[in-house]
Amino acid sequence: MSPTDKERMKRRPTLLQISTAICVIFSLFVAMLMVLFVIPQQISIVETRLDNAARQSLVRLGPSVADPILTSQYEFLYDQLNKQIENDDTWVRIQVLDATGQQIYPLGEWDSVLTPSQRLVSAAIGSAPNLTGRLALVVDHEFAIGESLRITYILTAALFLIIAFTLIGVVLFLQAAISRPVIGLTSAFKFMAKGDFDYALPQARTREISYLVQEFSRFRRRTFGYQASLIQLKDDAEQANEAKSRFMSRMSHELRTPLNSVLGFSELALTDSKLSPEQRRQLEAINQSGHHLLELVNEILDLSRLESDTLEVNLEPVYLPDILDQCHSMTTPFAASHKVSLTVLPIDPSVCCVLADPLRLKQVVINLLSNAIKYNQDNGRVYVEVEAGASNTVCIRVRDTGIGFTQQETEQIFAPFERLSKSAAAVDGTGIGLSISKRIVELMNGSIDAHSVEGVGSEFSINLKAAAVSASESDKILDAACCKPIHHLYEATEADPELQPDSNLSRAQNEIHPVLATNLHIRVAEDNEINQLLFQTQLESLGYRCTLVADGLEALSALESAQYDLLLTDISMPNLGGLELTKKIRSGESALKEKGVHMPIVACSANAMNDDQASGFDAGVDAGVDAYLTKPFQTTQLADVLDSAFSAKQSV
Amino acid sequence: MFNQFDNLAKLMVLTAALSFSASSAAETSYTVGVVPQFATQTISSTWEPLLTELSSQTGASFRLIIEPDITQFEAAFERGDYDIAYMNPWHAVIAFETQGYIPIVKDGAKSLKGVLIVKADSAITDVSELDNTEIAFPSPNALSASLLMRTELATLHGLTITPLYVRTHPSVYLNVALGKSLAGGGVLRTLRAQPQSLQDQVKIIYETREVSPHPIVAHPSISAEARLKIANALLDIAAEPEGAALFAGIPMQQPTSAYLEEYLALRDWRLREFYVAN
Repeated sequence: MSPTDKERMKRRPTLLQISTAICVIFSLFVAMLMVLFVIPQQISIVETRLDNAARQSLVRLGPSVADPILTSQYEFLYDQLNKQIENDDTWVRIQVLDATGQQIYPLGEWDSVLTPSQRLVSAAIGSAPNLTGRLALVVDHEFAIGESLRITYILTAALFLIIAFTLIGVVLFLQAAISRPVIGLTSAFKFMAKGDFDYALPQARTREISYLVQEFSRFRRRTFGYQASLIQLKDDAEQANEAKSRFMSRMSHELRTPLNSVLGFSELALTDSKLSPEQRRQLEAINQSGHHLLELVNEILDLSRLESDTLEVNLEPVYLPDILDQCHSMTTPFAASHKVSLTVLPIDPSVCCVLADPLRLKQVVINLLSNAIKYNQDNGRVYVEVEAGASNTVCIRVRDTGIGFTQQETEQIFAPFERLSKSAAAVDGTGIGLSISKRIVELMNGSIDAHSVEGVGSEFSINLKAAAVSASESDKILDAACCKPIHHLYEATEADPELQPDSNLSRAQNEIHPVLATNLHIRVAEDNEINQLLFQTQLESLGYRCTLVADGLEALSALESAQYDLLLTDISMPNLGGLELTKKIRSGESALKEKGVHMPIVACSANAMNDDQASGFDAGVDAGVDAYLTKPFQTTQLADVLDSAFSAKQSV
Repeated sequence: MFNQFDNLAKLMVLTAALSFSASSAAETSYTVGVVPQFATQTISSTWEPLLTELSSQTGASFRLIIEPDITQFEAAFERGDYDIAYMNPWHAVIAFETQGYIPIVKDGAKSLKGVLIVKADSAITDVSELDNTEIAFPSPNALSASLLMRTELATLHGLTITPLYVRTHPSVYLNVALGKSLAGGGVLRTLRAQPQSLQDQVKIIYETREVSPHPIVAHPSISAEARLKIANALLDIAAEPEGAALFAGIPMQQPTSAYLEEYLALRDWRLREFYVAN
């Protein structure tokens, strides 16, 4: 529910408020009725009645005052009228006129001015033509009307009380019958949303509410059933996913192990200078296919991690010129092999930093560059340019002059295993690179887009959040700006020997570790016989001596009987694994009285799924290994790792 | 209204007669008549306590008889209905002449004097201006207010007037105040008893000669000894403060002994010529 909805809901009146408003309106209506109609009406009726009564009294008084008037015996008249006025509260004053119109009573002046509450009533004394005189009476009904109104007020007050009590009763009943059950149901809804399906339902006092409660109860039971099955489905899916991950991990291990041999041996064989050109081409083909297979396994692993949400990215400010420089270096040989020129256009200092995971960004850029190279034409061109994107983003654009793709294909291009029909046949690839790239960019809070004109070229844009340039980076940029133009123009040409096909391999051959004849003795624990052979060959080619054992137990007993300079152990072995072996060795070392004894241990594994390089390394460090290798590896990598392990020993 | 008073008086006579017949053997009983110049109720409430006191002093019983009007009262004392009676001075003369009633007690404080009033804003200043006019009087034989006034206006001033009898003194004053009569005869005492508003509307232009105040008279059938006893008892009662208060209600401010000679002087004032006999 949005905040505006909540606000709107809060503004809506409660049942109690509505009832109170109705009470007040009804009371006002009754009050108005009383004030505007009932009371005036009552006053009018009472006044009329009292006037009539006063007139009747005057008429009755007539004969008794006629005699004194006729006989001039005014004392009787005065006595009588004085007493009458004294006795009657409503009579204010009386005037008696004789037949000639002369005032007989009272003796003084007659006050003809009336107050608002006074009324004048008059009657003849005797009847025409023998009229003896006239009587005029001023009555004041204020007291009588006041008395009458007092009763009305009491009645009104009683009416108000009755209405108030009735309405309060109705309100209380409504609260008990409707509000409280509805609030109870609301709570039940809330608790149900939190997963509590047993919250006590309110007691219904009316049929409508009991229907409501009953239907809610039924709905809740059904929802509970749905939820239970959903949970079951989720659990099943998670289990299936786990099974898949296990399968992927196992497959990765199982594939990497033979790949290790294929790549290792083909690499070693290529170092043999006595090979005929034909043999060299065949070995290179084997090696290339092995790399391709490894790439495939890695990409499938990435996809698998992305799907199981286990791929993590560490966002940090990344200096684009460095990353693009590295990507350029890594893909230049490949571009050269495809007779394609690769150019990184100058980067403006204002857009040189983005928020990204540097390794993953490199992976994505290399993927885009590889595609741009692969799907290009002879003498084609690939450009990398960086510019400011919308709303504080930076856009890294890879543009090529390749074969391009149709609008329809644009929509499918980021789907996994969706290879463009036309090119699929001509170009080798897994078809999941772009899919992985897209999801990695999205993990880095960015986006990736593709545009293409068929036959003209295509353009891929990575949009990432711009990062603030740190002081050191900013210095670097300034330095670069001072010393040379910031733009790096890398031009790959056929003339460049670095860009010859298989230059990677050539470099590996040339850079085989120079530390020969150290004659250091390495114990190798490896259960796979082919890999044993590969280790032996590689180590010997590097000038090491080695002794092979098939598992951890054997290694442990061999170590006890003889002195070795280093232990190279596979992690997954029968009987005793590499990490357990390391732990035993390290605990044995710490038990020794002689301090400073430290056997360098290098662990290696083909398992890159659960025990990927980082976590495998962590587990290894925990166990006490000095270095870690992921199969398959090249001889140069092995040489580097051994170097670092020995240097660690020296530092101990 | 008058019928009611009549009935009440008859009822009282009947009640008194019954009580008298029941106790006649044991004590002497006297009838008492009072001139009806006030309302019956007023007379009764004034006289009954006095008679009760007199009864306890003398050992005799006294029965009050009130006539509805002056005419019947005059007829009653001329027949000798009352053993003791309270009346005006001229009545005392008539009562002596007809039955031989003897005055025993009178008010010694002041003498009675009639007054002639006109409207306060009237131009009349002298009685001579009232010749051949209508003048209001309470009743024909009211002594000072009417009988003496009419006698003096005729005999001393030679005026011819038309009397209008309006029964009571207040009616006389009201007639003058309302302008219904040019003048009216009354007595000072009753005029002063009127509301100030009424007094302010009239003025006195003439006063009569003084006469002795109303006496209490006794029928000659009562022995001289009994007469003296009653007279003394009355004077004794008046000597006490409570008794004086009872006399004040009659009204009789200062009771004192009365003598026949004081009243017989009235015979020379030619009142008889103007007395209206029943």
